[in-house]
Amino acid sequence: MNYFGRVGYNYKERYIFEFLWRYDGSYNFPADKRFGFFPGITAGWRISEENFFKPIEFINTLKLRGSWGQLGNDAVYSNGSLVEYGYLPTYAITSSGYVINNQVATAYHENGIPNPNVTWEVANNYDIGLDGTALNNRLSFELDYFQNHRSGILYFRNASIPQTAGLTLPAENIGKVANKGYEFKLGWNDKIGDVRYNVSVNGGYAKNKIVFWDETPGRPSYQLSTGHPIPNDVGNPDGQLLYQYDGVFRDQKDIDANTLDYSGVGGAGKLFPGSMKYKDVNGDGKIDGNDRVRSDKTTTPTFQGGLILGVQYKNFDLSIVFQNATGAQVFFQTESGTIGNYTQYDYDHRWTLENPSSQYPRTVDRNNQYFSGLNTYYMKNTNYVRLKNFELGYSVPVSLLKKVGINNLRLYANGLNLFTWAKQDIFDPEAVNSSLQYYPQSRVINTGVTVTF
Amino acid sequence: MKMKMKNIIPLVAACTLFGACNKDFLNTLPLDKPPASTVWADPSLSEAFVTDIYNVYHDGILNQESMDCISDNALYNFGRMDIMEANISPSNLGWVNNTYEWGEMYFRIRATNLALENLATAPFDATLVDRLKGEAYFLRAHCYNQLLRYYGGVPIIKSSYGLSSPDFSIARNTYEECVNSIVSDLDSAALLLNGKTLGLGRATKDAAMALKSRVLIYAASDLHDIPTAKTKSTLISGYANPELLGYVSGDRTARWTAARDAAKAVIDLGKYGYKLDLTAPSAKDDAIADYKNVYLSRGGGEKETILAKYYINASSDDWGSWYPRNNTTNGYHGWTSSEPTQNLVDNYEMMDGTKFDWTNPAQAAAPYENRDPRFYASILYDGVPWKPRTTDGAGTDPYGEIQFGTYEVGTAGAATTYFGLDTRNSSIENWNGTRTGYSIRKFTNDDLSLVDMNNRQQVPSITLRYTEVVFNYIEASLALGDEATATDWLNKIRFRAGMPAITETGAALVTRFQNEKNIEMLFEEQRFYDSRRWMIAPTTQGQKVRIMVVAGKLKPGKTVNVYRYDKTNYDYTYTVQNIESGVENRAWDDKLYFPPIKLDEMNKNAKLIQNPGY
Repeated sequence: MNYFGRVGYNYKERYIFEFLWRYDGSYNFPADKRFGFFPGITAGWRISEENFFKPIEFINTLKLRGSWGQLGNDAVYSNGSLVEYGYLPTYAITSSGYVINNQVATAYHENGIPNPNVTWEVANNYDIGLDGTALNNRLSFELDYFQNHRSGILYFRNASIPQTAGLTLPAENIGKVANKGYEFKLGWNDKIGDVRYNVSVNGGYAKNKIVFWDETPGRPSYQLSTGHPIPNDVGNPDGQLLYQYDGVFRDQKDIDANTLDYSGVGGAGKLFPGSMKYKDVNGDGKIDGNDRVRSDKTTTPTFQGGLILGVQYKNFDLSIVFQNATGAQVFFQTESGTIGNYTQYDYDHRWTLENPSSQYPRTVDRNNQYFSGLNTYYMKNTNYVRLKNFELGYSVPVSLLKKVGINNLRLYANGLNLFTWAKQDIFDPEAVNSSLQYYPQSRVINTGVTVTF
Repeated sequence: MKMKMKNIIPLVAACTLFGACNKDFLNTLPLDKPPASTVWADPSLSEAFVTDIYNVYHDGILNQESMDCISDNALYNFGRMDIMEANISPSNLGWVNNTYEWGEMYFRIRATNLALENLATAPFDATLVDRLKGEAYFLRAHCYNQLLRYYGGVPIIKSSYGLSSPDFSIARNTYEECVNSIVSDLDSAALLLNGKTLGLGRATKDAAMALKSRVLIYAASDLHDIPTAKTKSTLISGYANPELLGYVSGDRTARWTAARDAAKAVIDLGKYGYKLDLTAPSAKDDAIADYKNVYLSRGGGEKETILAKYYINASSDDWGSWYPRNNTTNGYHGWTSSEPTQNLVDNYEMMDGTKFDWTNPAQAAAPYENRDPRFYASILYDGVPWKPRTTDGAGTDPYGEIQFGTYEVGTAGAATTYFGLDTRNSSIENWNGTRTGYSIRKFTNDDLSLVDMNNRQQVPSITLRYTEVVFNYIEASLALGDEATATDWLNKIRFRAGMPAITETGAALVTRFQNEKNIEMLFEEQRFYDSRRWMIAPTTQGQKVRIMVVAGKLKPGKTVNVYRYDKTNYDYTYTVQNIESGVENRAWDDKLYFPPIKLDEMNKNAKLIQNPGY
């Protein structure tokens, strides 16, 4: 259920002001926490309409704008399904039942424990921007800086409440996340003789940071998620905890020189030439779960951008699109071994007796070695620049066409994903699935003719 | 800024309303999920809540991975066990089944606590209330005993936490406190369940008494008598908190006496036991049939069951009902999941009661002849007649016999090698094959018409069997010096199995008892705990897995085109080897007596103390 409204004000197209509000109610919350009021304000100042600005001729239009708004969220998901009525102590049927007297007897279990205080998660969104055109409208620009502060995020206190409590925890309004970033778009179009061209560059940077959420109290500081980005899988923040790759045991001499105890990761008796070394982060002489370090990178790039180029000369036209992204990394682990094959990269780089390495480990069946799990060796940077689209066309002059009754005839050739420059060349940098069960972007080359009668 | 009212142009001013502004619109209740107040006021919903707690048993002894795979008895086919390689730690727990795992047990314990708290004020029929409370006490005791015998002493929690509980941290209770708490719950259960009518599958007063017998025999054992354990383990000797692992002082004889009395109380009920009144060994075939009757819960064998989880075809697709498919051989499209080892097979005595001996040439040449009848009822071995093959195997093996070896076919001298259908080189499926040369037959119905690859069975997963209680009685009697009683009962079990009486005394008798229990209770979740509490695990679990390699060589002048086990055509050789260390490289470390509490739980609860050796 919701109520909403909007009031706007516009003074001579110079000052623009708008107030919006929502009053939302959700059945997911108890009666006294059910409604939330979420206002928002936007304001704009078209500076170029001001008299004092008129003498500045090289700028054609200029607008400063800003906004602030609140939004509420009442939807909480646990294991992919919507959590409803989190404030009520309810019981749910167990689908399997239990066999009593050779019949399936009905069975009910506690449907999680109630949180009588559950209420709206609130997001405060701030944005400030500058738009304009200049130099006879040849240059255009849009700049934005934004912040997004979410508080009262509905999250589970699994990290701090021990299992002895036996609780299936409800979502509580405990999380705080800040997201900051900028976006820009710059365009230029002009003409040199018969050549018309346009260039535009766009990009966006965004980085989020957990300001507060549930942490396991006894953990070392380098494992806490506060101050780091939201993990790839919010339900499994420990998926961002990585053992620190420290090279590979090249030979028996290397193993004999090892003084670290690997039994904590199941590595006792498993140190062979070609096995991986881990860093003893806390310096206790033992490799174990406390030597994992929280990674600051997720599968989401922090920067994404593009470059678009267009040229027209007489009857020829050309368009080129580049795309790039930086700041993400992917856990790279294929199901090699008993299920699938190895990648060319793993094959070429593997440790072997003939070709020992202190950098690349030997090939192993998936998950059967202490070092086949989450560690920094398998985290691959996915920075890339890609020539996404390239198209060259030629339109046959209309004068030639009229005679044969054709209105328009264009010949063209285009290519998709023609070139990629990536930090690694093992897999498609746009893939986010660690086992690479992902249909890669294909390189496509088309040639064609467009005819209009 | 100059601003005039007339220049204000309201662009839009709108208010949209849904639902006629009635806020009661949001006062809904979930239709499929009754609130607590409804559940605890309603007898059938309250009963349904208690019924659900029984799901803590999951598949029990019929789990795809038998708990015997983390003992010397068996090997799991799909991935080595870290615990068997002494490679477990708080960061690397290895396989921990959900029938005793820390989080799952405390989740169920909360349910028992909720039931007991709410039933205290239940407004319905007192007889039902008492019955449900009795079942809840029993289930709480079961969960705590599962934790206690795996981890040692654990935090005892007897009330339910709420979200606003100020402090969730809690220290472990001592081993002794845990035993006392469990026994107290079981006594309450027995009292409340006395005289109640209970459906098959629910805990009874007798189940409470039988579980008490288990708890007390463990409590009296070497591992949990710290003065004894210290002499056998330097790790335990050096541990700062031995009270978490066992009794640090007190009268051990009193503990043995309590264990004996608890077992005797169950025996004195006079209601249980199948063919435990024989005065001489059964004939071999009778013994085999009787042993099957017990593990298939049929033909009178049901009298052994004190508590079990039942499977029916109408119930959900429980894994335990797929036990035959999970364990029959790959040559029958089975998975050979939990595989008996040669270490186990060597422990089956000869039918005359002597030990099997590889250095005896006659025995080494025919290791599957004249063994304890339970061997034939429990183990699938090379050459044993089994079920008809499915159509894709019937041509290769029209006889339906297990083929775990490699054999010559053709004419002697010019023969080719044929890999048996149940090996890892099978022409039917060369994966899922046995690694040990055996597969488990126990718990699979051998009715020839049942096709295991697509047939669920309705054999119950027994959690408390009468014979276990008898073994408890024997063990306590032995410890108290009453060898006559012990031998008498031990021989009753042996006579049923077609085995002659044991006549040894002293330490030799104890050894015979230990082997007898392992053979009789194979794959019934005994060995993991028994080998620990008897502190024989360093020798039993510490051994490498031994496997059987069978080869059949054509006798001179013989021609065989379709292979079949036949001693007139073949000379068979039986070679015992250690398994490749890459499959599972078994080793013992005293830290394995008590597996670790996981790192995360330690970090969440600063009051916890870790087990020794981690």
